Amino acid sequence: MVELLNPILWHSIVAAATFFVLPTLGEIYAERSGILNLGIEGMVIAGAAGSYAIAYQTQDILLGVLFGMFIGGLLATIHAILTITFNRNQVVSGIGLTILGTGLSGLLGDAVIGKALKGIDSTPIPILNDIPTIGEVFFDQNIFVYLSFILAPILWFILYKTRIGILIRSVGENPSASMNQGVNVRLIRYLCVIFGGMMAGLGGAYLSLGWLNFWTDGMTQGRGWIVIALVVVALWNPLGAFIGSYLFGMFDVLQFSFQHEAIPFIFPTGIPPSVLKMMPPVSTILFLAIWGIILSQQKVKSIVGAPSALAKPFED
Amino acid sequence: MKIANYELIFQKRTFSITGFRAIAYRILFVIFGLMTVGFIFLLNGINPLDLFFLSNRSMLRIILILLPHTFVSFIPLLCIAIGLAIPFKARIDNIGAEGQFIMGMLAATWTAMEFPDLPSIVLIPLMFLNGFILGAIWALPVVFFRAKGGFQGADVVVSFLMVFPALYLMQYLVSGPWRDPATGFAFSKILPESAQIPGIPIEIYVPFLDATWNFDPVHISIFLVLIIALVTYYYLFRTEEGIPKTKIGYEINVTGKNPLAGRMAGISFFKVILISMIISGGLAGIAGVAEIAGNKLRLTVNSAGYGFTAIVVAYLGGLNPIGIIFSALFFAALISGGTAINLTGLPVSALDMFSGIILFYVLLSEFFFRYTIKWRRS
Repeated sequence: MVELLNPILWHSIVAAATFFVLPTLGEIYAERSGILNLGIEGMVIAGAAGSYAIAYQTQDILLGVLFGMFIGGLLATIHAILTITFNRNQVVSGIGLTILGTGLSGLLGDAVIGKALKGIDSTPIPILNDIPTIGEVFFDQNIFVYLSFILAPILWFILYKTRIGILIRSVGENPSASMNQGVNVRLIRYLCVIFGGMMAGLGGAYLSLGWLNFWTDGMTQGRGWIVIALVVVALWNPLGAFIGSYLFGMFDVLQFSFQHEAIPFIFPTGIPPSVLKMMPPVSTILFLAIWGIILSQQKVKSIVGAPSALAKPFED
Repeated sequence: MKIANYELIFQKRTFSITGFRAIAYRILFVIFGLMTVGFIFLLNGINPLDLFFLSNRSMLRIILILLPHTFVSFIPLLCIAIGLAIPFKARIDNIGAEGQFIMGMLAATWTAMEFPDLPSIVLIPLMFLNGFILGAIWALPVVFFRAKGGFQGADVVVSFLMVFPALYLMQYLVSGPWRDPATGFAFSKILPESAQIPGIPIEIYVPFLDATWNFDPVHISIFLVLIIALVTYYYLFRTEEGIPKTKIGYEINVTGKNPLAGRMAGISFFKVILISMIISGGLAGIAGVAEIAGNKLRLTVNSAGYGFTAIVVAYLGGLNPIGIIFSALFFAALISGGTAINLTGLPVSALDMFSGIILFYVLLSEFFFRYTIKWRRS
């Protein structure tokens, strides 16, 4: 039987969850401002390839991470120009972004496929690291993981407790009313979408430099799409994103844990990996199905606060 | 929008652009797209003019030499893209055609292995029928999420995520129960003779290319998909003075343009989604059957990704079957031209950049159908 209480297993769950936290936080800000960006997958994969390539060529990890964020922000800017300035269909533009990002990742990462690079070391946090089990699981990780611990509450605070947060939410809720109040709707939306792209690029940099430590074509395996589902599961709340990401991190890690577990009659020699790989997408679909039934009741929707103007064209 | 001393103004046109001028605009923006891709190649130290036209290994030359192969990829692209145009027209974002396509391939393989003794004339239509059914079933969750889901984007995400179960199911079957013990790879058995769709036995020698066009790989499903294109055009897309001629075509159009008005007029939103998704999934399934029975002849662990390219094909074709025939030809040619990219040492996935950037420009071109841009000194 799989040792489910094994700290090593939980250590890798935290590592997997961090990948989901970073882009989800960014996408929450973009969607809160009213812009649906379906191009997460493209920005993440281009960020992963770009950051690994630059880090390999300059042997400077920090430069690589910054470049990954730059690529993510750049791609998001294209989406912002098309959807905010030119008012085009956000879904189609997002799909284009995913396709473009995938192509760009092939170009950026071509020279470094299979090249080994020492990624970011884990830096144990002194005192906290000594707590039995918890210290080992949470506080013996690398800097990205700590960043995700800090960013989730900070971004929650900004969104709900500051003036900027109110502006962002009002723009996503009712852009025309905000504009009449003198709010620069386009500027706020641009900043949120670009911030989302930079966070996706950061997530990509974490994927290739902080977590898996290699680059290969198509290495995200559709995880970017799970991020979009996660925003819904998180109810557009940065703290919810944190909880949701750990849930999905668990699915992501546990899929590899049952390869030698036989199920009588169906899989007598162990569950094949291709069947286990279905777990994250299938569980996401089930999640959305359950959530979809709950959320379609108007009352509940008003409580959770899905941005009303999300993906709606806005012309002034 | 203000930039320094100048002001940028979007001015609404009195009449939006339609017909031939719209097509000309699209072609112009595709050229802009190709120039942008060329610029990215230039940054990578590859001369785009050489890559596109001039050199001996240019994309243009390779596309011409590989013309029959262009038609081979044209078949699935056209079939899937026409299927996609229907829900897109109704503003239902089905981006999971790849999964529906894979299910079509599985249905074809299963049918052929289960009934190898049936004569071709019965077996092949049966394969197409099963492909249609399984593809349509795979599209049904989107109907549920679109009709029931209380938030934007859920249907998009679900339609995409349905690709993965299909892909992994294929990987499982090919590496497990359906594996051909005669090969060392994860391949299924080659389809029985009776299940194979015949090719077009024509060979033409082309003097100026010094090459022979062998149309044998182009299977006769090409006629089937062209007929599908014309039939869907006739029943769903045909318009008179801008208004769709058939009832269902009209309902799809209204649902896409103004769902609220449609509901007021008594159009069932659910019915429109259901019908358009069943046709869409079914056509992707048919494309999968044609691909496996006409071209690949056996399942392997991966799929060519036609389902994603077809999204761009559908938009470039203006969501109209006749336009899609031409945009499918264009993208099929790009796919054969991808060999040229490979020869420069870049990965084939760089080809996705063409699709992504061209999609952006097509989106942008639609803006200029309704607006003009003016610079003014402020």
